[in-house]
Amino acid sequence: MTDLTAQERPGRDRITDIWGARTPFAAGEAWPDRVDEYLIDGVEADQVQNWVRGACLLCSNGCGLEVAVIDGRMVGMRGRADDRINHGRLGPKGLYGWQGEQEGRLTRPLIRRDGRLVETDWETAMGAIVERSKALLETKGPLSHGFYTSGQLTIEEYYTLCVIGKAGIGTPHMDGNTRLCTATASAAFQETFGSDGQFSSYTDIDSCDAIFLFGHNVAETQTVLWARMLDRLDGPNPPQLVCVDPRRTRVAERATVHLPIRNGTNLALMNALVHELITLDAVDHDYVDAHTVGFDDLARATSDATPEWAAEICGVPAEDIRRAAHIFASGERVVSTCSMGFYQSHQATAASCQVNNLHLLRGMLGRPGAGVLQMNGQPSAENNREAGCGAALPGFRNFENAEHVRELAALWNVDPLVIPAWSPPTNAMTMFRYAEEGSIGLLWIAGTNPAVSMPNLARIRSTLAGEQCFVVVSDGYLNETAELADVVLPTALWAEKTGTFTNVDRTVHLQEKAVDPPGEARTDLEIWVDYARRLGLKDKDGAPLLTWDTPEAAFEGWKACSAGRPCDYSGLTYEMLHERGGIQWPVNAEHPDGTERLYTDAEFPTHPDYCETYGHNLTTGTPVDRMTYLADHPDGRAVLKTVPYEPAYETPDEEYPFRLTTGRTVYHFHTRTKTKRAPQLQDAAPSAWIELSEPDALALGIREGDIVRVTSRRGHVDAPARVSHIRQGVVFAPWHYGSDAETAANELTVTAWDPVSKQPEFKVAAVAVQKLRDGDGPSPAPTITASAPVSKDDPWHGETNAAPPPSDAIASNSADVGSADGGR
Amino acid sequence: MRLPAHLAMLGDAERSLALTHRAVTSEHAADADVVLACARFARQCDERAQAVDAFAAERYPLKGETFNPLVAPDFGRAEGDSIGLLRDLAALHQFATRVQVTWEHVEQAGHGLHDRGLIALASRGFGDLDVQVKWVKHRMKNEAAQALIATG
Ligand code: SF4
Repeated sequence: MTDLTAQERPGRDRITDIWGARTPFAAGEAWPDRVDEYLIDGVEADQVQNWVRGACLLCSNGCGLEVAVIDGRMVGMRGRADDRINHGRLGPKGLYGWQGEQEGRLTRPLIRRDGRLVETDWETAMGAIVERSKALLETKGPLSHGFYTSGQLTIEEYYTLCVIGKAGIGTPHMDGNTRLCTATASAAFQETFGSDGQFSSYTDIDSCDAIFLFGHNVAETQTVLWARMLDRLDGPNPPQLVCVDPRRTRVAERATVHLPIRNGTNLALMNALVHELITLDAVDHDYVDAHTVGFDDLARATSDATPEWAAEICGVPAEDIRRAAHIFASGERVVSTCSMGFYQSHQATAASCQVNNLHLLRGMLGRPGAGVLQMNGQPSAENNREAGCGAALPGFRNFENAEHVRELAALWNVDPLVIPAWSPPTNAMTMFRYAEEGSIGLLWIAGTNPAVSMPNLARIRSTLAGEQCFVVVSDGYLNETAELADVVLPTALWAEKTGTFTNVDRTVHLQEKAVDPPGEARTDLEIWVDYARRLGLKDKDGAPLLTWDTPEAAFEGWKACSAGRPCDYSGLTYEMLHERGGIQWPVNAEHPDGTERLYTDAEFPTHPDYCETYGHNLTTGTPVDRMTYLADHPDGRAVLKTVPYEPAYETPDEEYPFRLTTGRTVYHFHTRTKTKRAPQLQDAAPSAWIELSEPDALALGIREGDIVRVTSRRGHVDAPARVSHIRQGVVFAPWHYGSDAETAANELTVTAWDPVSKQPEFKVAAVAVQKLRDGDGPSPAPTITASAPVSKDDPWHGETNAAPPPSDAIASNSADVGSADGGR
Repeated sequence: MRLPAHLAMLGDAERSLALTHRAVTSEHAADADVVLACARFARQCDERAQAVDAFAAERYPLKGETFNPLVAPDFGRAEGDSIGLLRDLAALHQFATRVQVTWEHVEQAGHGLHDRGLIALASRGFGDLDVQVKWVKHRMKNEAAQALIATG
């Protein structure tokens, strides 16, 4: 690491230099350190009183960092050089986003009186919640309660709520907004490997010879991971890069092959790639025979999926599909990542399973440089999945396995009948439906903003505002959802509390409390412990159900619950995490220092007594029953499966001729609750825009910056146009700007989801575009990311203009306009 | 031979099943997953109806005898809430099962006639209906507790 002066410090400007200086490295070498640091103006490093350890909580990367504190106030951040995830680097959100916690916070509880939210005290607020809770439990029973949480809480908080909901109240209605960002990652792992759990490692990037990014705009969604890839790309023996994305992202610009497919056609492409591998016989038959089931069915299901067939559907040349398949077929060490472009679509699980299948066919997993990273959107999405706060039992247990349920009942000392295992846990979309009809009479929303992030917002808002359901919101801010609540509880945010969370490659970090929360704000853990006590939740011997009230004690509870399961935390301690930074689970007696990658012995968690699921029909989502599952004898072998491609729920027609996709920009997180309060980030992307291609803009008489209206069957948004390199026929809207109904992209999206993961379809809706009026300058869209404007200086510009493809034409890598899409 | 009348009845039954699925989608528009699944199932029913009609016209044309149609159960007058959905799904389940069994009978006849084409057609039809029936059953299972306890 070089010693630099304050002015030269890397990371002083991560707005215009998003990925920072390159530190190239060759395959097999360690990624060099580069420490990024930002301190607010007027503060120098030697003035900092405390550097408090933790990790960034603004995307699923989870970069290790230290929080600079002076006089009880956060004044800056610096990356931890010894952390395995980032080796010191921080991206724009990591460096600047924390400032958003210092503005506009809720400091006192609020309660609705005569239609208005007014300040109150904790006693009154909690009293009102518990009174409603008790009344509903008496009259309607446990199914009257729903808990909708976040991908941003700590393990300790998730697990505490899991015990309240699943062992105390006994409701199946628990889900997280992880449903929107990561449900498909979980579902794809479960379908293929029998259990959730990322098996690869970020270090696989360090030695791979090819990287495939499927619907993953990593350059904007996990900037530090992209920096790692860039350093490989700029080093000796760089990997080949294949990018599947309808937008021309920065990833696409570096790609060996860019497949800017029509959004909504992922599975057609994936079936063709699998078809090609099988046709080329680039299959490791020994591996497949020994470690998988379903090869013959997979071969049959993809036998007609030729590159020519897929090219028609996807709108890319068959030759490019072949090139991509060839790169996969000839690679020795391939890493694939898969993200929102795949997850937020109608055949999301099937398409993501095909990514797993590519690797299984080639035996390309469980060794350095070879693996799959099914990405998460949010920072602690993984923990919501693991700790049973979402639609799953904790520890990746199988709700259809009576023994797993009994195990939990013994751990919690409750009657197994209390644990809601009689049907699949309820997903978020269904929970909101029940809240709409009032059969869920108390909906508790913690740390998330569904009034902006869910599909079909008008419906969600009227559900939350209605009398039929009592809505509790715990949040750091009075966001759009909180404004509709009956009771609002002010919560402590990141670095204002101690707790653990796990990133996308199973790396667990401990965030230590750096500063006090503002005013009367409390941690979600304190709030739920208080709720459980007030509600009088007991175990079967009459003792209090929750046996903890501190984060560390809650962590001990979680360790006991995770022991023996794939996500085994039993060997981890706060002390280890403090000393060493990120450590990958499982950590137990067998792996006391953590585990870099899983499935090194090709032994998969599909054994019927161990697996998390028996799988689903990928077309309908119907669960496979145990007997059918047993008949296939997976017993430690992975399951190869796919289904035929079907068109998206809504495809363009004469009235709505464009394909809408939604996504995010590098400078914001989720609904911007935090990032809009961080000046550097807000200034970099202050308001909404609509991206469309140059040929489409020309045809519609739209110029850069003109105000346009995008209309779907459900609503419209108005925003300035960015004429970008997006694929012709596709329109992109960032979904961060929902505070104003005029610019909330989710006003446009369909209420539809993947049948298995139940992840909403945010990536395809049919829309119309019209110009409303002239603009008065360029749109506010960032200019150095996927939303870069078409410009005369751009080397691709001439080619694009020379032969603009008609919207249904085939878009080639060299002459087209795609760019990648990231997602949440 | 009574197979021609049976096949004609089956084609009509698939069309009635398609209508039944469509009735569910319009009655329960708020349940997006039901709408999407039933709309897909309805399309598949229409396709199977065409397939069986075409096969029968070529190989087993009607010779005069017809069977009484399979009548879809009373349908679509339930409320659009959870309990209404549960009732409608139960009716759908009953009818889809009936159609599935009808395909099974055809498959048996195909074996008896050594007719590979008929066996293949019927076995596909039976398998497709199996997917539908399982989905409906699973969806009812998900809905039952909520409908019976938490509504009303
Ligand atoms: S990449 Fe993600 S975790 Fe790392 S600093 Fe940026 S926002 Fe934070």
